[in-house]
Amino acid sequence: MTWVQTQFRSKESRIPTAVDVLLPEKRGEKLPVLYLLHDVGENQSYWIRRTQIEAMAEQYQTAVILPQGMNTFYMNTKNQRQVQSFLSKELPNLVEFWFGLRTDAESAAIAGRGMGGFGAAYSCLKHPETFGFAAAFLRKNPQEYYVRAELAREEKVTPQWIWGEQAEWEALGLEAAFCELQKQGKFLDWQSDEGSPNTSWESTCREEQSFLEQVLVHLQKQAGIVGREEGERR
Amino acid sequence: MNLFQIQLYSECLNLELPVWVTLPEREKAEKEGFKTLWLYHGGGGCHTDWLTSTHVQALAEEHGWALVMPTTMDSCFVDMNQGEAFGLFVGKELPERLRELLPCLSRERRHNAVSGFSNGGYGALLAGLRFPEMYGWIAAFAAGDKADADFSYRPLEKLRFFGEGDLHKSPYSTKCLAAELVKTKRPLPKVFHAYGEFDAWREMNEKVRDDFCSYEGNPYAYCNLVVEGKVHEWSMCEIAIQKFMEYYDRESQSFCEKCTEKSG
Repeated sequence: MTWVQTQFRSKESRIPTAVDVLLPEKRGEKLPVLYLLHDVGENQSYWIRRTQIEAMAEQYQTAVILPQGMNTFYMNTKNQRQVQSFLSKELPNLVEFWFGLRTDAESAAIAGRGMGGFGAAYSCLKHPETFGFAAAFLRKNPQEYYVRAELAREEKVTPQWIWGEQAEWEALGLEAAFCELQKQGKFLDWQSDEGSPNTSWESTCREEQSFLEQVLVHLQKQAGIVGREEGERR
Repeated sequence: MNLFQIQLYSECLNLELPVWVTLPEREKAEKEGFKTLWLYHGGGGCHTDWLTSTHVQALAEEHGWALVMPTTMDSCFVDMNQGEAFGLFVGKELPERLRELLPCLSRERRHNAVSGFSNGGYGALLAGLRFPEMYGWIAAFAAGDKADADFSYRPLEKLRFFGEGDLHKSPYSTKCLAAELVKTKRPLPKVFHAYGEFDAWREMNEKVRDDFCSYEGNPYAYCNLVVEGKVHEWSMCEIAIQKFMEYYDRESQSFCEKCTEKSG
């Protein structure tokens, strides 16, 4: 795999941003693309440093795009950080122009942990033409936890400069929208067996690996690539 | 500025190496993709040197060039006598791999120039003369022919890079490569060669100049620039790379016979 670290100024979010990209050495006819989002307090390097995503992406011959989202929940925030527009429009265009990677509902998916899980579901909801499905690695029930403003207080993130007041947030109706997405089979949520946030890093690693495997297998099926079943080695 | 820091595995070296790439804004691309400058560091240097030592990135943005800056460890950009084939890596494998990775880079010869400073300038001459189908242009700065270098006080260094004996009839000699290439039907790169007025190795650079000028009809479209007041230094390269980009912009419109310029 080739690891590309990019630094550039996003026209949409108007801030210097970083995106890491993992690309297979040789490309087949169809190359699935996975957008992988980090959690609050992290950056685009999380997945590469803390999981075996590179080895797994090589096994499943998938390109992986790892953008930096700061603590914006990957939304167009109240303080004019247009991170959702960057993620769902500008970044796929750049990825196609620079690396020749197609991002469309057939070949691409978006996934993340914590805030990134929310961002993945939100992006898929808003741009189903770009992301075929979303997947979220969560430790709590997504309907109760990630679609409420309580999330912001628990994660020590001030909600107002992201999405405004709580009433505005609830008026978005995301809880219902995410349920609908799940009914359509476009939202995979991986709920931890542990249930508690205070578990060891080893168990988190194990679970995140399993989560990634499930996502990559699902993406292969969506892209119509046969022969790469779960656990199969090249 | 769009900066890409790449960790690239090389099959011919069996090594993973860093490569930096900068791309201009999309609007600066030619129909076939970005013009690309393959930019080599000097002896003892690495892939970061051009960006940290000059303003080449700003110039590249202005003139619409993608920059590719590899690192070649301490290899003198050659297929080492005792070591790996870095010449093959930078000259051939790197452009092939990066064009797969970044389809936005133009594959047209006329859009590809290989360039470098000092050992990198020598490496650029070797790459351009060895793989002329890849590069339409060579821009070599403070570049002499290693066949003319004095290795009497550093015989182990010579052994490591080139082996023993006279190098003038070997593939390590730019003059030998140029003489062999001109006899073939293969395309010839255009050569832009610059060095400082007070470069300590000016004599070696002038031997390269004299060799290219010896060919009847100037088949390499050789162009020479002596940068006034400069020695063997990055500030010379700063001026030289700008002059090369301006020269390219003029010459890519029409062919130019042999010319000699002075800076200032």
